[in-house]
Amino acid sequence: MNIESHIRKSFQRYAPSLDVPAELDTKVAKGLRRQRSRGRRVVRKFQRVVFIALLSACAVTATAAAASPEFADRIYGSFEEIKKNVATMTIQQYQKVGMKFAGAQKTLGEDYPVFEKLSKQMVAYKVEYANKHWQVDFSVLPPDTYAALKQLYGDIQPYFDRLNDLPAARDVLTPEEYEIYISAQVQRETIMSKAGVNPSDGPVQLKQLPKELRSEYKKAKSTILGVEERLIQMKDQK
Amino acid sequence: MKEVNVQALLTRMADGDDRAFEELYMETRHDVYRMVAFLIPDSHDAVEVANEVYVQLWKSFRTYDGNRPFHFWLHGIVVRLVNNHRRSLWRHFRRHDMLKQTLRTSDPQHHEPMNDVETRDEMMYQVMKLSKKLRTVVVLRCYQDYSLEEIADLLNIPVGTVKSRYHAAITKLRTTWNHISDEKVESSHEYRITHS
Repeated sequence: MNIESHIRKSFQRYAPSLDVPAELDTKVAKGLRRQRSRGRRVVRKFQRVVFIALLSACAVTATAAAASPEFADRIYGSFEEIKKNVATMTIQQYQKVGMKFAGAQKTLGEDYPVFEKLSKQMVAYKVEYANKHWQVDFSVLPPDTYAALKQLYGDIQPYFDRLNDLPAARDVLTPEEYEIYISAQVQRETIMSKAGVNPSDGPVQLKQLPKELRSEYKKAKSTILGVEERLIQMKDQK
Repeated sequence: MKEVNVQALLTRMADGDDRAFEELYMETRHDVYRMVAFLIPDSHDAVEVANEVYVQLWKSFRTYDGNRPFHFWLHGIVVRLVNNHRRSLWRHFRRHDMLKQTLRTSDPQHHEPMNDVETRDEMMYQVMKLSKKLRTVVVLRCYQDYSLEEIADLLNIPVGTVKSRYHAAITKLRTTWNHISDEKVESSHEYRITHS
């Protein structure tokens, strides 16, 4: 028997005697519980869909506008048309948007005006093309609009990443990976629009979606979560 | 570890089914622990690193590329964490403390997987005496049956380096083994002379 065969046989003979210690089972179970609870704590503070919906709703309510003239002046003038799309708005929602913007201004500093400008553009597109839940079906958009809105999503994402205290996906991913990430967001929104699901109501369950859209949704969601996990890991490593 | 089963489990994990992770652990734990134990002889540290492998698996399973075998990806995590472990000097101090503690408590349930190997398997004892770099290549080649190219990919080193490490390990083991065999022959010869 040559020496390599001898070594292989030794491994084969010896490996089964290495039992997994019960200590490992316990540690992994504890670690899983810790990761689960930690995962629940990692909540995105700025979710684009919710933020844009609130922003749009806030912009058309006279009562709300009176409560914060400065904010209303900045946004309202650009979006008078929004009145036709939004029926109700509570003062709580308005205050939430006010706080979100104040927080964004503080976090983004001198970059805030660009974020506000992109947000206004986003709202304009949403008013024009989104359904009542502020979800756009990209599959029915004219090609130019599709490209422009997707580009806008790509441009605004780094600001949402910063507001969520994460590294900017655009800096972390390769251009190809970033394109896939933004495409997955577009795909997910299209599916939610087609299904008439409101993401502001909470996490979307597969059973809320038509069967034919579920595998596409899972794929898009998996891509998005994969990137988010990566960003969270990078943040943790810093 | 069947790739088909693993794919199904990963899909369920992506859907938020936490039970799937537990099943994946049960499916892979022997493979992971044994590989870690061959690379890190100290059982305390082997458990720590194997645990870290599963933490990492939980965090990054979504980045797994389904076009490659799952076990290859998993072994990549094992190798990376074992290397991280070796680089962490503070662990040496902690290991020293833990060892002292173990000696004090003398837990009969606890076993040192590789330290009593001498009595069980002479060849395995010689493998475990190899340097970490040489042993890693031997474990991946002779235990996990990877090609030299795959090992280079896993360790992120050139294939030439893998070949030279493997060659050095085999040469060393052959020399030692021949020497041990000769000694055995001589001692049995002496035994026959004494008792004749």
